[in-house]
Amino acid sequence: MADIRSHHHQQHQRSMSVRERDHQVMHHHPRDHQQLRGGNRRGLDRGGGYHPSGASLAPDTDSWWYKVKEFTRKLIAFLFGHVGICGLVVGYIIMGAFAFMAIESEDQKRQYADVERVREATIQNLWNITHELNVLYPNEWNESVSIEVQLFQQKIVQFVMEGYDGKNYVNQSLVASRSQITDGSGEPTPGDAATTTGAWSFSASFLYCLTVITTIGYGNIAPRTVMGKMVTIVYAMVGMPLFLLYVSNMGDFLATCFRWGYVNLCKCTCFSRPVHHHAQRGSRRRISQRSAPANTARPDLTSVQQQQQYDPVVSIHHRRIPGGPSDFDDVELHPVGGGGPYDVVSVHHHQQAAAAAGPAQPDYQTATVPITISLTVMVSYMVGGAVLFQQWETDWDYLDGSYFCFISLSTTGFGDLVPGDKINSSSGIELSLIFCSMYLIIGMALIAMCFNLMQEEVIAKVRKLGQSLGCIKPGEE
Amino acid sequence: MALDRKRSVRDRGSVRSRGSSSASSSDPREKLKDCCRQFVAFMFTQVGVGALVVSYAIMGAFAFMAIEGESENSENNDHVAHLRSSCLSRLWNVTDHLNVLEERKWKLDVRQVLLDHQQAMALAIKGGYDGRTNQERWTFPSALMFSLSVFTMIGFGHLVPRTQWGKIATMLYAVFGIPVYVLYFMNMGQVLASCFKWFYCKLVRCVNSAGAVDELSDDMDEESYSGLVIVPSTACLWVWLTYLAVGTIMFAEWENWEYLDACYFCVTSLCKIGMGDFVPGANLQASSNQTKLIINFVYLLVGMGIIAMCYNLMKEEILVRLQELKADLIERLQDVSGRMRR
Repeated sequence: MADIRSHHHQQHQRSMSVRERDHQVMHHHPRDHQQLRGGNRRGLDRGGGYHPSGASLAPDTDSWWYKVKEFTRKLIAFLFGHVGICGLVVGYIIMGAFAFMAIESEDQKRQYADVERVREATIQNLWNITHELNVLYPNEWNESVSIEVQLFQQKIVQFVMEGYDGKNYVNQSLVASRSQITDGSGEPTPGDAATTTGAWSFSASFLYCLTVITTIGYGNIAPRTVMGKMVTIVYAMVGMPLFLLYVSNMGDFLATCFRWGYVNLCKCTCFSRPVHHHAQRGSRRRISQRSAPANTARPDLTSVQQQQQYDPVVSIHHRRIPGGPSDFDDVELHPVGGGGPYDVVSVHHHQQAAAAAGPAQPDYQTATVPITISLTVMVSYMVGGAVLFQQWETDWDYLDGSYFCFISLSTTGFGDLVPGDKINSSSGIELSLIFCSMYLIIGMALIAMCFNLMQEEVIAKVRKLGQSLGCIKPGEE
Repeated sequence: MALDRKRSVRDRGSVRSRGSSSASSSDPREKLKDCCRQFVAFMFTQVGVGALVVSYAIMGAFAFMAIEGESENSENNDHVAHLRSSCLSRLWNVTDHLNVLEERKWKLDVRQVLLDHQQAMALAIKGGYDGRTNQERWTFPSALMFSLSVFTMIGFGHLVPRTQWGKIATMLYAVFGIPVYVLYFMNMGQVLASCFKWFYCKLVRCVNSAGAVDELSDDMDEESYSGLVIVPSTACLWVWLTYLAVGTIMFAEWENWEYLDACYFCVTSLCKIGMGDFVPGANLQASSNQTKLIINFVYLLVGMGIIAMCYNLMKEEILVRLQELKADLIERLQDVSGRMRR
């Protein structure tokens, strides 16, 4: 028994489910103080090794201590799994927001100063024109002034192309009073700079960081400093995988919840119509296994090996999604052994499939939600967002709202329409940006969930189509 | 660990291999036919998908040129002209009003006028005014670039539809275009990954005549190549970095950008972020850089393929590492909590 166990550990150390490993680990601690000997568990020799006898494997399940540790372990796994990822992503974005605020606001102030300088120069020129003409002939004056204003206009176009946002936060009355006190030179005093937050306020930076790691990339504000660009590159490199992890994680979690809700709803309301299940979830390459589910339930294998074999098959996290919003590959990003509930379910499913060709009762892990429902969820989220944004933004109509939602959620992100981007927005601009960010974060997870739910049927349909067209031999990939 | 991975790989192994191996053992002619059929399907798939993507982009370019380029030059230019004339008339009023021209007061009023004009102008520019007409803006290469940025989900944003129909067309174009692109992405990734692995095999065999056979293997087309060779992630990273460097140098030289700017552009475009502050060939002054837009198009498409390739080659390794990391972390957490309890 000990031999099998040690062999098993060496073989399956890394690919065992977390639950199994922690099970073994937990057996350690209650017995540490008993000074166990023996066991050659690789990598787990901490303070004692472990009792090779079979009796020690069964933990003292009734002890309160065990229950607490079990709960703690599950909590940690859950936290690490879901809430942890969310928190990590949000924390990463917040950190990035602060960094970009610090990096870009100096440059922003400089840009404002530049614009103001250009304006003052224009004013000076206009004054010179006006002053020189002793008698004011409208035509002449208009001509010269018009040329001057044209030049000013072109410079403004240039500035806006470079990222100037048109805002001028310098207090107007301050300017007026200042020009009365001084001789109207109008140079910005140091006191003015302190009142300007500029385009890189906290919520704008937050949205910017979010658009970088989700690859939306609006571009309505973009870094202009050297440091800003380098930080953007590094930030994107690290943040994008993190966000993909979040999306896949949340997508799977939400899909599971949705399936559970759907199955229960179907059970309650339409129990006459059975919920459609698929026998197993296999990858495109394992289509042969699909037709012979009994094959895979080889009872002669040990339980761990069976689970090992089942892991790719039964895994809730599907194979290569054709893209999704971020071109991720779910099965690779979400390890099969990830967390308590999934392992329980996978073992349960394995037993069910071993018992019969198809599960006797609806198992919510294998229920197939029809495509129409997933599409409805996606579309309604977009429409809901469109309505909300149309209410919030004064000059958006419903088309603009839905266009914005669609373009953002598909991670295209042109940046022509961004909430809170108007110059004369009221103080609700901060709230608007934060709301937009939340909408995007949740929206991505929802889209991932929908793709998760849809992909089974879509792939089956595409395969059928391919077979009917003769491109794919039946039984082939 | 190696053993069970092999078993899982075998279990998940490509059915094609099973099929072909069983067929080949029985009938060589059957094997030949199978091979031919596979080759035809392969070519049809890869070439077909590539052609589909390009033709979809071209079709979209024409459609958007028709929708957006032909639309009236519209309010923006008129609006800006109107702004300018109102600014002028205000200035005149200010000047005319003061019988005696006192500099300070005059400047104060003029400053206010200019400030308003500036903000209105900035608003108009954000609304799409840049001194060009719609025909000038929506040339064929620009429209091509726009179509590309829609269905690859890059979304530069330097050129956007302003009409209602344009926006609706964009959404429809994206809905149909994104699956096509995803198909291309997956296909391109597989093809390039296979090519790269083959190339790497040859290289390794040249260098190391015994041939490097590794325990771990990628579950991809292993039946075609003797020996299981895993392409290390560093090789993929080198390929990507090289491609990035090529793009950086190319764009920096052509567009007279700084090297950092060109690198920033390459990274943000290839990662599909697409800020749009730097787009080759899209600046106002250079209207003759149309061919550069086409080169940009090709660069981005091929770049996406290379990313897909790196992704394919690296994902399994990353998965295993992530699993290990996570298990390790949980183990350490348990360990620490256990130690604290003692």
